Amino acid sequence: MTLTIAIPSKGRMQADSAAVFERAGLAIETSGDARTYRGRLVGDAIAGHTIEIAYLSASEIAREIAAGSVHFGITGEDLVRETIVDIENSVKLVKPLGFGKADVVVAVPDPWVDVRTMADLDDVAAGFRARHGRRLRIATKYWNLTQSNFASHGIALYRIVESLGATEGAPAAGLADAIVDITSTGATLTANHLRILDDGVILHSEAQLVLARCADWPNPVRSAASALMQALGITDQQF
Amino acid sequence: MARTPDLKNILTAGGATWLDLPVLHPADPFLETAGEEIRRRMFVTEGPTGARLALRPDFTIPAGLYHIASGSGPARYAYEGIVFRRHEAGDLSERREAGYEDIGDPETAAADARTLQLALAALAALGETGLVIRIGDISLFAALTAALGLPEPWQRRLRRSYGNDAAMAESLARLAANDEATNGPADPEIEALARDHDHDGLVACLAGRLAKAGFLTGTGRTAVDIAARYLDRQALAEFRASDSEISVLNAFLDLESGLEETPGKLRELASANDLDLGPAIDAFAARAQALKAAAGSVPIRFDGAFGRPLDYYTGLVFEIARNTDGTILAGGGRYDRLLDMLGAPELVPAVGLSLRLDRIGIKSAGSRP
Repeated sequence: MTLTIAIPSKGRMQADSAAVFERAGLAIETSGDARTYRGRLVGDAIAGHTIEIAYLSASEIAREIAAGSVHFGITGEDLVRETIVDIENSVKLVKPLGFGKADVVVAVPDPWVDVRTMADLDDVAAGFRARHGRRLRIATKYWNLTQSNFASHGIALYRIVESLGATEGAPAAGLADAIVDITSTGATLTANHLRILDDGVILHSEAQLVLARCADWPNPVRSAASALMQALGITDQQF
Repeated sequence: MARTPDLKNILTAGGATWLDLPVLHPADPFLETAGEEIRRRMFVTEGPTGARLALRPDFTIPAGLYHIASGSGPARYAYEGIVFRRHEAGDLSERREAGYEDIGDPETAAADARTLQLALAALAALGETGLVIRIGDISLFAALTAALGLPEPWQRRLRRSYGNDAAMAESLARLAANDEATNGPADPEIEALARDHDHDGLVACLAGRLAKAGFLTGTGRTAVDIAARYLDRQALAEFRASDSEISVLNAFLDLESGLEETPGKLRELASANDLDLGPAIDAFAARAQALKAAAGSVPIRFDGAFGRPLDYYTGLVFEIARNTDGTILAGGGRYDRLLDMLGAPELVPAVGLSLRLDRIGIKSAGSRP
């Protein structure tokens, strides 16, 4: 068995992930074919160990970590917390990597001048059915994050509308009343006349190096992982 | 198919129709009434044409839908079968329940008592003895918040927290502290209109903003809704409950007593704080008498804080437990707002019970705390 690390297969996240290894004096070697989805990590610090790189889409990475089919992955904390329900037992967030920073937030139409906090949203949600004949609708792709955050504010009387893209457009289109979405600058929300609630940040997310607790960890994999963690400057080496 | 012929006979003795309800149901009625929280606990799947279906998480909503579809007047239903709920690891996801729903009887005290009596009769037939009943009543708490003269939005908040101890503690803390500050960025235009109590101007301004931002009209909150709640919120910001008001609310929530003493204790609480709770306590006392008669020798305890944090529960809730280990064997309550939510053309009074057949008759099951 070989130590396997899943990293994003395209875009900024891929380049930023590769840079994390480069800074540690490690390089990713691919077979030369640009379309390959496998690579190998090489460098003096890990000489004698075999470490494979698997290129996957960001959301697949969280799933594969949860399933234990890779040992490490680099992906957004938002996807880890959304995809993996039993997070305490199945994974460990080893190191925040300083890129891919964005917030998962609750946002309402800006003209809702009476709604500044989650408590206000709770009031609106509670009276919604009597007034409009249906529950308040929240568009989001973050079902789990939304449910657990709303529950922590005691909000139960709402419905989630699944939104897989352009969530910020859902309120204007009449598909939802408010949204839970990820934003880095808030510019897209502002452009869509949406406003983040004062206490509406559910998660400050960034890319994380994530360890899969439920993967197989035979001794050769463990020692490869130790060498890798040392190269990355991670001192807390619990598996 | 009933587990014991006895149980079916008992639950249908008062003329209830025995229902054989499907296991798979459209998921929407559950989500629309019980809210998004229940989605975590439901097993949802897809029908062949993409419709979202759920393994029934309870029987009350299917029975309510059956009642509405049948178009009949007052009716009673009983059933038995498996319900499916996702639990924390270690607990079974399916369990056997039997239940009874008493729908449409305007004599609510009599219907409540009949329902409790039925639960006790069923438990007795299944060999359960040594029982204790716990009851709560959100309508009493609602009467208390009204008698205190709390602003309407605060009354609604407190009612919503009822039955959820953490939420109630938080609501009471906020009610006492009044941190309802309008601490966001200043919005001089809106603030000026509100200060002048210019309701029409406020509505016009908000309507303009909604239109300018391109929000479709007629699909959600309107300028009128937003203006009304903005003014409500102003009133909330100016309101702060006194220490004595908070302590009355806490005294009610902390009240735990035998049912016989409860009306007296409630009257004491009311007169000590100069509150007019007469009609609510009288109604409660009448109900208590009916419940007492139904329960016979089984003791009934009143718990001021006992309720279910779902907005369709409107009055009595009850639980029947073993007095040895506290295992809850049956529960029920009044849900006068559910049928309306499910699409009935009017409010329909209703009360029901469910029996935990997975626990009944199984003494001190090793795997269950």
